[in-house]
Amino acid sequence: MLAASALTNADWYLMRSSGVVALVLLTASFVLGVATFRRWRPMELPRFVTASLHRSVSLLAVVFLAAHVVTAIADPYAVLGLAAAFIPFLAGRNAFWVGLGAVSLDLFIALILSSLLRARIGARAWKTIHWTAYLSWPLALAHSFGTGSDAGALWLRAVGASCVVAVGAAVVWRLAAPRFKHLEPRAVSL
Amino acid sequence: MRTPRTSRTQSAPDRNRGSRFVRHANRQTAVAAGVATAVLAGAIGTGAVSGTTPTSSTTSTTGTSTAATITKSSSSATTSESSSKRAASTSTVAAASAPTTTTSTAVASSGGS
Repeated sequence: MLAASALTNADWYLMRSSGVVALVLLTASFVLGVATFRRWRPMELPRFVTASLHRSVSLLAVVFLAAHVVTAIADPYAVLGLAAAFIPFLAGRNAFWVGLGAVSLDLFIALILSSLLRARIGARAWKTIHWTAYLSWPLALAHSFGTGSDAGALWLRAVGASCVVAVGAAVVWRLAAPRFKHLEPRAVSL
Repeated sequence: MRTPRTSRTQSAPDRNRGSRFVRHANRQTAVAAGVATAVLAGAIGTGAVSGTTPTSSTTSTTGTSTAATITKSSSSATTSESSSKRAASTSTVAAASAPTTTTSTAVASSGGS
């Protein structure tokens, strides 16, 4: 009976786990983005390594975000239609917190599309969208703590706190960067 | 006179090393993320971590007593809000579908005797 229950709720479990992993990957992408700006070189490797990791981790986050969204739509209890996954505050349950997730998702989609179309939209517009898309991380964090089934669980709080510490450290590191010309960000496509 | 190949030649090993590192890191990250998702989903499903299963989803329609269903629902009170609501939602359905003839049968039988 337990096995039958697990299979019945498999999409619910997958939705929750993929959401947590997507948050961790978004955090890693955020930190690597800052590291790219700082021209960080892990183990004296070439600089393109950091940018490549930033790009691939972001794309991996897209995969897990897609899994999170698809399973959320498939879950009848979540009452999340296809439109509510992309249009904020339309969800039938926890509309505000789910809406924050939708905004975060939209920003991430804009980030991907702008990176794919970077040659057409120009570096200035691309950079504006790219920096704006960094807002998707705090929105995703608020979404996970506001509406997640595990919002009150200690393990999720620990994961969230770790993400906050990582991003906070990266932001401090970024703000401490000297404003030299050679530290200006180069265009890094996603 | 041929010019010596300097920077380009010297940076080639570095580029190869960097490319290998990126490929390796990408593979490791993807595998780690996939394994983490599966393990976490399993942990949630088996109740190894808190806020887990809607316990009354295992409600059997053979349970005739509404009181039994309520007991199951209250046993999930320690889970998070969503889990409780989900469990309550499921138990409500179970209660609605449960046969209600138990009490009346008892009354009828007691009246008969």
